[in-house]
Amino acid sequence: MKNKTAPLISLQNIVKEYQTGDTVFQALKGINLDIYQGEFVAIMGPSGSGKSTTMHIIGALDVPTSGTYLLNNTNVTRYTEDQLAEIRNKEIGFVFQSFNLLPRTTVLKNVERPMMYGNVPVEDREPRAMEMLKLVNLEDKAKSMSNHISGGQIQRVAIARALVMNPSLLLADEPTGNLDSATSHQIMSFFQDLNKQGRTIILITHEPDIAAYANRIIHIKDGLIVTDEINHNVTKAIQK
Amino acid sequence: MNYGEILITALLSLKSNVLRTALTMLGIIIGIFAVTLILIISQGATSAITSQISSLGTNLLHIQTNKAIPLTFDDANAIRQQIPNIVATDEIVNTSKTVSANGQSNAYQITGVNAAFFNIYDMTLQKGSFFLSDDVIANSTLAVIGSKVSSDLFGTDANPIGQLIQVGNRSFYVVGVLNEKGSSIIGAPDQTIYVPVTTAMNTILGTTTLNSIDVLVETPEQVDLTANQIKQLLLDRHNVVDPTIIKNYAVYTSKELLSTVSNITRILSGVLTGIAGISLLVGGIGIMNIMLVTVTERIKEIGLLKAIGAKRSNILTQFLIESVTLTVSGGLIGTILGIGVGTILSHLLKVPFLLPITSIVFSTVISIIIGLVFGIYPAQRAARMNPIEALRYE
Repeated sequence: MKNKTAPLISLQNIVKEYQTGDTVFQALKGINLDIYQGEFVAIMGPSGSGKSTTMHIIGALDVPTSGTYLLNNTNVTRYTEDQLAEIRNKEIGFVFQSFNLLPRTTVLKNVERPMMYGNVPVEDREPRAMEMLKLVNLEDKAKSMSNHISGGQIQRVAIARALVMNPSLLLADEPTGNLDSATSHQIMSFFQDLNKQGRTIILITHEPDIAAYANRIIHIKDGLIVTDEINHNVTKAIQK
Repeated sequence: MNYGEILITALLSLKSNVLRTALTMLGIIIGIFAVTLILIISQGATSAITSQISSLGTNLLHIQTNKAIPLTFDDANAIRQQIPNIVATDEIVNTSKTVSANGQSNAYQITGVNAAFFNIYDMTLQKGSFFLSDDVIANSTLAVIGSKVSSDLFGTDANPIGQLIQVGNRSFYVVGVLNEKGSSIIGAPDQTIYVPVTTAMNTILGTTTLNSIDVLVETPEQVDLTANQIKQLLLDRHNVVDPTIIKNYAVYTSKELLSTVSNITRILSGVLTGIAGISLLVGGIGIMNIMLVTVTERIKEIGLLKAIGAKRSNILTQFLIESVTLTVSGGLIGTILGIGVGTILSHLLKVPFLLPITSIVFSTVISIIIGLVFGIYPAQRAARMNPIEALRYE
């Protein structure tokens, strides 16, 4: 797994503490983790293990209490909120479990939205969004309202939106949590395809079946990494 | 950031709850409606009164009586004889009496005037003639009646000239019927019966005191000087030394009347605008309240927007545009309603309708300001939201 090039993500002794009144709760107790360009990593752990906090820090949604986070060789540990917003916009594509799409908005406008914050010229937005929708096979739904499509389609639109700014990293937080197993398989196969095309993907899940699609599986428990191993038994996509 | 897109987003989110949007805008609609209507009516009324006063001529003086210094014929004669540059004077008494004729009976304004009155106020006749100076001197029982009096008592087709009308216990011959003139600051000539001032004083009222004296001066430039000369003459004639009486003794010029009227309308519209302002304030608080609700309802959406790269300023702008869209739409509706009702009302009140361009600009600016002032707090709350907490919110 290790190679000579610098890692895409490098978490160095990351600690995250939450203060409630007088008590301090340590959600992360010193996470050390390198993720390289082109990897498909699943981060697993029961609820309260710290996997969500790890995802928030990797996703630039939060900053650690101590430790260093290098993204693309840039230290983003002490970035301001607006700088973090720019990182989220340009470097990270999110796919959440639920509430992925803006209500009262078409599929196309949903995919275009990150480009609005990324100052992409207006005339370039629609072609790029359509290209991404084609990639997820939903170009015919471009004009549909976001609440008029199925759960699997919503996740595919979310993937299209996550890819539209051409980020360094796709961050999927329980992306199949609301889907039936057939649709889940479809979405996970899609992630595998994207990974084969060179995309770096980090998947947060508590389901071993879903984690099995990834090439590397990391277990977190009580704020620490307990195992970090290559998955020799990758679930293969059913060839159509 | 593309403001057009944000505006469309704002409109869509307002459209998604039409009833709430309408109720929220109500305060703004009422406030702006009231301001617009007040401005239309007060502008119309001011312009109507102003044109009436200036049509009287700016060379007219109006001497008002005062209980301490009763105006008499001798005063009027003294003014005529001793003050230079006077074209005409007119002695006036007013009363109200039941008048009957032709089996009809009604209460009308009875105004005693001399022959110069009709000339000073530009009165014209539809039938008959005015009474003359000699008729005034002779205490004649002649009457010139307003058009409404004529149609009330004699019907629209009949000829009242030469008919008798009974005023109190005295009979008057109708010699003239005035053209319709409409109401103005000099009263309602259409509903007035004009009789010689001498007859009115001696036989109807039994008094030697005039209500007022009108004085027509040669040129407008001489008005102020003449007014002072008349005032001094009257004070001398009545041996007045009490400074409070002197202070209250009034010789009005048209110019003063004009500024009094415009002061009154200014104060009136100021008070009404203040009340409308309170409605706008309440409306603004309503906007703030509903925007806080909107922000709470859309916490997850805000979290998602932050996750895909929206900066604080992006979120702030979006919610500010929403609140400004609310207030400006409310303001527009209020303005349109105000202009609509203003058009009807100025037609009913018979004042000219003036499109209040300044008030439209003013209303729009005020609406924008209200949207910004009352929208900034909810928008800041949205902008400062922690993305993780927002995403987790259920």
